[in-house]
Amino acid sequence: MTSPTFGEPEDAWTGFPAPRADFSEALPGYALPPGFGVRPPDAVDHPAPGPDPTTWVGHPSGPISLGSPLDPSTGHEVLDGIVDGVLREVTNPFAPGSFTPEPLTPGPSIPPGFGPADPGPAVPRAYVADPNQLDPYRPGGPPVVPAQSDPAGVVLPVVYPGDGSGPPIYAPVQRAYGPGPYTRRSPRAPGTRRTVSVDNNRCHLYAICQMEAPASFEVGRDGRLRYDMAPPTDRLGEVRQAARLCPMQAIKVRED
Amino acid sequence: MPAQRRAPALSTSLSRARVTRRALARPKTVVIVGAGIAGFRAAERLREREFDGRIVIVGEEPHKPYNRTPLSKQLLAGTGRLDDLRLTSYRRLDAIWRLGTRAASVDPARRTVTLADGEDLHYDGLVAATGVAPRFLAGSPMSSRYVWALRDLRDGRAVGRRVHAGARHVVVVGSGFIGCEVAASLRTRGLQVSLVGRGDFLLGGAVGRMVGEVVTDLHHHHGVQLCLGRRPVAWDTADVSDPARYRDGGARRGRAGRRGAAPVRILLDDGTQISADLAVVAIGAVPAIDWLRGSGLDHSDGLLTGPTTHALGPGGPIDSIVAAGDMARWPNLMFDATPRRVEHWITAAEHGQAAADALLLGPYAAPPFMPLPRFWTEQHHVRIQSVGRPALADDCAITEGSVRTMSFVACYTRAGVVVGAVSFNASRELLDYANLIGLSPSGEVPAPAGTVAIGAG
Repeated sequence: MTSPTFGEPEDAWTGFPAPRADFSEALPGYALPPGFGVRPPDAVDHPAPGPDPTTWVGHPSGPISLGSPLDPSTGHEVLDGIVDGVLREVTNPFAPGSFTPEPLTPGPSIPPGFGPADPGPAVPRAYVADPNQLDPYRPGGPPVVPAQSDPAGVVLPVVYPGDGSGPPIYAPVQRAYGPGPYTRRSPRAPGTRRTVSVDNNRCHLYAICQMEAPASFEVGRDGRLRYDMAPPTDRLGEVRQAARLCPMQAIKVRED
Repeated sequence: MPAQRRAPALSTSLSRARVTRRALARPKTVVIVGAGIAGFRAAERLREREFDGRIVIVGEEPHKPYNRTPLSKQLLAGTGRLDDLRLTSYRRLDAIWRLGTRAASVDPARRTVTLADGEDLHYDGLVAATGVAPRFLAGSPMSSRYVWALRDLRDGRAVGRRVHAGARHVVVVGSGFIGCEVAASLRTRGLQVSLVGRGDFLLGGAVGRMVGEVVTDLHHHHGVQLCLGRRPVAWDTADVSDPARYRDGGARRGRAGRRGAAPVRILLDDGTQISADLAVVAIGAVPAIDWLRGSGLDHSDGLLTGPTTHALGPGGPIDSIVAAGDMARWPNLMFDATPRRVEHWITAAEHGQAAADALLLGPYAAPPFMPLPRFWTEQHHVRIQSVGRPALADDCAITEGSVRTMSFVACYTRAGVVVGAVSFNASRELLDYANLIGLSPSGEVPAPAGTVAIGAG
């Protein structure tokens, strides 16, 4: 492979173009933490992590170590990359014995009709970005989770019941690439029948539909698919073709 | 970004040809051999063009056409349902189905297809869309119930049953798309997966070394045990190699046979021995062209067709035979005039539609079929997509994003001209590259070979 004719200088470690943001130039004197930027030739991989009793998820089959390496100088977890990945909960503030809820004191009474609606009991959550999702190429690699203790091998957001008594509630697995499509009506006469729908649970945002029918489908910068629910008749052909070629077969076009 | 360059829509070509009415009325019976996505879309397109003759669809499987792509992805990972296999057509096909049988031979002179059960089908138009069959790995005991090649619904259900029955360690032989998808899906499900590949990295034939190594790292970091650069030399299965070891006939479904040995053991050429509960062989596919033997048609590596999808005979294109899907070898004039096969699902669907149009229009009025090849795959929650033909490239560079964030686009060039692009978790960015194909990376139209720019040098 010859050097790229366009693009960026190569990263000596990965052989791929280096990331564009290099804070050491913008901030002289600022030392990048280990794991950032170009890997120094004398870098030493962190040792394999052991189980950490303070950070765990309440998995039915027992505690699972996050497996993230600890920075030997600070003792904190080394989290490379930007905080933009999948979030997962790592501490259970309501573990039995670790937390005693304060007794509720009655506040000033609010007459009915005033004030905000009762939002219900707040469910505290502590999130730490999953280092495995943030940077799979950090030294040491992602945590190796034994297959038997974590059968799915996927990141499960966990919600604990408010009083800490019962087992954790497992939320559905979140997709790693943003929310699904939402709909937008094109400015048309009211009462127009909706003919196109996209299954939010199926769509994986491959944007094939935008290639086929760019006037009716658009994947935005925010990672959402916007689409025309009632396309004009002369565009129905390409909308149907988008539905035919959709990799996830998520588009439904209703026929009259 | 230059303005989008697109081939004229087929409907435009149809009206331009001015022979629509006459051509559409010509064939009375169209036989579609192969009930995959290409044959299904061909039948749908025939009805869309108001073809009112008979359509006979011959399918080897007992099912009507379904979507095979979730078999190695959602269904194996346990996140899909059988309902995901449903395909919808926007017209009533009104077809005569010959399912569970296969074409045995074809006689282009008499315009007759003979089925395996002896039935002769006369046709006015023939759509050949039998697709591909899994390539056989020499020495692999494919008759074992622990060794499977994943191609159709039966294979998918068999593999799923084995996983359900308690398989814990699966070995995948093959480092192509199916192999990588199977490994990723089963790994997502929590199984131990070993992958044996011939090359030094995964997906090498499709995306090249640079991106292939990214895929390799992705699988490695998600716990797939990679045995690359090796191939199996000896197999041992509990039921085929040693029936005595498994005399109870599989009543004891589970991890081990009676003596505690694994159901499948594979010896690699470097001496490594892998014991597994299940083996999936996915080393590519070969075109299913058995039925074309003796027909006089060129069927070496797929049925050779012209740019309009009409089969080529000794005297030029044969107006009654078109081919579509994975088994057709045709020149995509978007790139060059070399006939090649493309094994992509999206292309097969478009190919079926174009073949139906070409059958109705005839070889001289039909437009050339020049699709933009596109594929997608999802592995370990990373969406990998491609446009164009990256396999034709001689150079590759990452032009957007970064490997570290697992969101980037790699652009593939051949002699300074863009021939393809591959994106990881960047489908939106990939849209622009679809318009760049055939141009230089800066968006200019490259000068034809042999011309000298004025003032150069």
